[in-house]
Amino acid sequence: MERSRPLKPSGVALLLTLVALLAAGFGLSRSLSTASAKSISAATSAGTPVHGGDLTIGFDLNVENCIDPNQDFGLENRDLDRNLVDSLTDQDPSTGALVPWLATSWSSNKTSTVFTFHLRHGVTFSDGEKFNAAAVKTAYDNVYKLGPLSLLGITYVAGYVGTDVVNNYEVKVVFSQPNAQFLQASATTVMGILSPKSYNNTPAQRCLGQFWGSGPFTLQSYTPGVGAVLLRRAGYAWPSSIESNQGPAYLSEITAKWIPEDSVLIGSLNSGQLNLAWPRVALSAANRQLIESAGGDIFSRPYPGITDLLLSNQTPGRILADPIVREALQESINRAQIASTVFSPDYPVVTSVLEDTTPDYTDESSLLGYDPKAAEALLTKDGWVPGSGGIRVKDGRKLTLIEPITEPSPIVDLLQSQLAKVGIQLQEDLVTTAEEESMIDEPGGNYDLAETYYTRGDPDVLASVLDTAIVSSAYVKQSQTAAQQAKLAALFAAGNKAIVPAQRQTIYSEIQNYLISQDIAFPLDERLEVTGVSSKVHGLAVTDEGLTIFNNVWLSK
Amino acid sequence: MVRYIIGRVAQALLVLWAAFTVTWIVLYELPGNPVQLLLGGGLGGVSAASPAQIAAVKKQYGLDKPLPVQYLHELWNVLHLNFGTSISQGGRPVSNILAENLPPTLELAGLAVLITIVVAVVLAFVATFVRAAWLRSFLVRLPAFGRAFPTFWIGMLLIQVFSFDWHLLPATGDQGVDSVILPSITMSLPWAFYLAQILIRGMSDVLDEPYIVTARARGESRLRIHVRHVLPNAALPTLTMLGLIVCWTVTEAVIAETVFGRPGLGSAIQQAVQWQDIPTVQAVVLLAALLFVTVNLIVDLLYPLLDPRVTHVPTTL
Repeated sequence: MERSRPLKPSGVALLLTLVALLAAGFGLSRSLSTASAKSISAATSAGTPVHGGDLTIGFDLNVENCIDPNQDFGLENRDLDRNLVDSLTDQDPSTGALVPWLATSWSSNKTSTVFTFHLRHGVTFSDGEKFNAAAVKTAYDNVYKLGPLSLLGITYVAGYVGTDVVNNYEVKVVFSQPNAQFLQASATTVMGILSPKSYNNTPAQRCLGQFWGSGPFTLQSYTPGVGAVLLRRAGYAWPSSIESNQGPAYLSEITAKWIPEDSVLIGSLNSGQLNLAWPRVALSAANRQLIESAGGDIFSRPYPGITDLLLSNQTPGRILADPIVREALQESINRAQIASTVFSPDYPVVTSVLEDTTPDYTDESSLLGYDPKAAEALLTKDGWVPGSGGIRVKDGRKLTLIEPITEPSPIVDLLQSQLAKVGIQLQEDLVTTAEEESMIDEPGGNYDLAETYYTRGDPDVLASVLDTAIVSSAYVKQSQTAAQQAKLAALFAAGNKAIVPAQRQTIYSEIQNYLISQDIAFPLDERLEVTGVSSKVHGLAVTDEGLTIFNNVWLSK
Repeated sequence: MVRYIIGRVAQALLVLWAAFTVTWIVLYELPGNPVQLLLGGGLGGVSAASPAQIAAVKKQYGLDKPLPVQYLHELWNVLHLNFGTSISQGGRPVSNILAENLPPTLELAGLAVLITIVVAVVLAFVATFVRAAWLRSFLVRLPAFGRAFPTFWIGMLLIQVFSFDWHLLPATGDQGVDSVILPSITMSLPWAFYLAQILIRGMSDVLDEPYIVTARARGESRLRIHVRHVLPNAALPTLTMLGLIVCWTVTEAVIAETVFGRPGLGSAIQQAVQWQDIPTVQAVVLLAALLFVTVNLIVDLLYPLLDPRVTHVPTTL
């Protein structure tokens, strides 16, 4: 990874420094858009690994007070979970293919209803219990039992009948309906295997860290939204088959801190108080420059899964129930400008509802063009005429769209000004999570647009968020008309039956196309993991979902 | 004196009850559905709970009963120091959350109050003592200037200079004594300037009193007059303000703990409000109110000792 040299202002001329800064700022020659999923080579990995050391990682966003891998959904907690629990399979980030982990091999029947796993021998949980078929059964039964408490598990194990213990090291996971995405799900932290004893604790207790996994680290402490400490587990010898370090972790300790202030997060990294700064939204060009000039590196990789997008509220009577307004809205979003202004000039522009690193992604950019003139023509034809302050009006009703947000967002700010150009007023309602929930949940919803995204290396991630046959959240139901709900549910069901890759590709392409052409979803930007890394960190690697594999990481002295 | 004490204690209890009631009404009147949040709906989540699940959780938290019953039930529980269980932290007893978060905040607030007093007294003392007109004028105006800066901005400035540039103190966390220094200075500066303003005004007024002239006439040194007469007499109104400032530290802790990424009551209540965790918010507010009445009670009880004239006031009530 190319690195710009630290700037040393000599006394000769301040101007020179300024010019150098400007040049460095604009000349971010290392193109983010070319950073593909195939290149996960981190900062540097040369040299002999050093044993020991305490790595400190800083996060900025806390969306949940839970670190139980079976229940949580936030990237930050999942990042830590990935190092506490192992899964039956792992997904190779360079190919997306599943590779052995706690399962040495597996097979499924033709209808994708029965999955057989052969399990690894000699694995133990950190509480001393043995990993075997009974442990897998206990874990999977309990994920199913969590129901809606496991936001993702509920879709991963939809139609779960049970897990049969064939023998001590072989299980059959049985579903009542085709579940083709289950194999990929078995690689996620959500389906991570906790020790059987863990499930004697209530889900709430597990949320606060009272569980044991078989991972390379154990959880020493966890304070929601503040921090966590992970300790190395001696004797760990069963990482995923593709990991470079097949033994115990090099690091002796990992400290995680939540630092909500952006400037404090970056400054802490630059002053050596953090080894990794991982904000939820990609680092801005300015922050990347700050980190690089302080001698740090930038680690960048696209997340697979659902892009950052808005879902419309199509409840009858709301403005976006009108398909013409939705079409105009789709054409009024300048996605290239969002990428280049909010992020950086080399940031990739969104091209679908799926990130381009997700299997079965299709390029829908022809449907996502920016055409404000066409949008204005559509609105005028639909009866929305310019009113006071440039906001369009129809039958005395202003063209005002409400979007609840829980923290200020430069993306939404920019979108607001883009929409204003065609006469659409975007009203940002900055509220607490609880208030946002009530705006969404009241009958019909008191909002027009709701933001969502999700990280997962399988196209069925769309079902986790948009299939009303499984998902019952108000904002999901309101995003589709009854006809659209039926159409999408049928497509998702077909997707889960499809086991031939080409067939799967066709179905998920159709889903992506349908979501955009029907103007159900409005993609805004690609999501890249852009992390700041101190020069001391070596061997940084991530899973297909972008979660850090700390087992490989070491710190130079 | 006994009547005075009884009156003050009764007032304190009334304030506590009012704080509880007002918070309770406000929290229950807020839009939002904590149960839905608990069961993982919302934008973070993808699935809503079934009506049966919602009903079960409502029952668990007593949210299915009529509002007056809920109110009396909770009041009864609080009187028995039972604060219930947290909604946002999955059924964890609120008392555990308080026990965990109170010590770091007390540590932070204690140091902040100490810094507030020292800075205010030193500043006011010097500002009223120096003879050079320009310096005096500068020092007298300094507090008004200093008060104008928002707490979070001071915090970020201190972090930038002392942590990022000079590498003297950690920017975040709660490990070690040095981690408490920057956040406590951040919390104390605005109030130190506020207190200094009052103290400067008070000391200037005292300097005009006839007994100062008398003291001077007796040949006492300027320093002695300042220490023996001016500061003690001007300190009395400041004591009342100090009572309020101790309570404001709870509010300031929300900002300081967020900027400095520290655990404590401030960050706990910030999280609780975000998730509409009614029992936790209620308990923290009550704790803050308790702190408020206790400190003010102490101030009220100290007053008659410092100024005998005060004891006569309640007897005329």
